[in-house]
Amino acid sequence: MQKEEKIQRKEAIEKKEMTVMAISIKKLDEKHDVARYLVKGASPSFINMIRRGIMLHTPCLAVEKVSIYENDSVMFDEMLAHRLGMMPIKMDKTYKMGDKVKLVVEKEGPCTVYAKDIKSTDPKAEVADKNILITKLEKDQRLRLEMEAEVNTGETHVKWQPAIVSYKEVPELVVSKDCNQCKDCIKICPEGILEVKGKTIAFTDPNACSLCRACVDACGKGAIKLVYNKNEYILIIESAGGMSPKEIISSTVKAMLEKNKEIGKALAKAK
Amino acid sequence: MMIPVRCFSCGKQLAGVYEEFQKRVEKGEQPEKVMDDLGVKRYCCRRMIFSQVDLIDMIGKFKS
Ligand code: SF4
Ligand code: SF4
Ligand SMILES: [Zn+2]
Repeated sequence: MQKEEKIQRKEAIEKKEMTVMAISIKKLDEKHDVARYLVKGASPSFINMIRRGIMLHTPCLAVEKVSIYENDSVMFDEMLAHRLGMMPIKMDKTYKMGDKVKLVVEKEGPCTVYAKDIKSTDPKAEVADKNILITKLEKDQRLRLEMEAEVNTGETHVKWQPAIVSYKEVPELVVSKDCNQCKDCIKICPEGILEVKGKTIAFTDPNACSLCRACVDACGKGAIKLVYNKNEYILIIESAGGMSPKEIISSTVKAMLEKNKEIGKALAKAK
Repeated sequence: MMIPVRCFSCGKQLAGVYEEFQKRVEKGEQPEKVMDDLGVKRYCCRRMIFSQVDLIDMIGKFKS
């Protein structure tokens, strides 16, 4: 039974032939710091290299050291320091790997401490989202601390990961002549992106397809198939807020080139 | 105690949208619509928000 299903799945995701073509990138949309790009002419390993490059090798800013002088809030010092470390911080292009910047916060209750209460000593670096909740102070409670933010990469700690990155294939629908337009697939599609078009079923927006394959399973006639294009991917970059998605990609490309140079140098020395 | 700054599973920053979420839900908007609107789409992030119990105000009273 299981084996049968496996074979069916394999058939359904049979891929198109791969062709070599130049890479092109088109921005599909950007909302809430989430950008979607259509990348053509890339292979799965290549697009995954970009993804890993963003997650592991792209420098960004995060709080590394916290000196707490006064903390009367009910939040423990360790918890408070952890919250501050998780906070995304914006930086401009002049910041390089290893650079440091000092941030301070001083508040007296009763009040809620937000990220906007944190003052940076350098106008080129500031907290990305001013509304982040840090802690709460009751009457007569005081908070006074100093932070040191550092530029580093996700390889060291996830707090230096500038974005959440994912990618997916662009699907194509193949509907056979057996289709009787019962609309079962249209009803079940969780994204609501299928429609009747002439005598077949078609996408209204293939880029919105989540590849869940519910439409394939729903069809009693086995008339619908999803075929993935091996050369086209949708790259989704959800910036943590420190840099724009475009800045993240260009900074990643730069970081990867540096890495390649390192390999070249090491190779030259190798006997 | 207080909404975590990021989602435990995927790392999306959530502490910045939590107050707006609370305010809009109090006004009578549907929680799922507000979350969609704020860009909180994955269910890992959604459970962070709707399973949150704010205890900090209560605990705050017991510290001098
Ligand atoms: S479920 Fe199958 S038969 Fe029904 S409309 Fe979709 S593709 Fe056609
Ligand atoms: S794979 Fe899922 S999202 Fe895509 S068209 Fe089919 S049912 Fe809709
Ligand atoms: Zn999440």
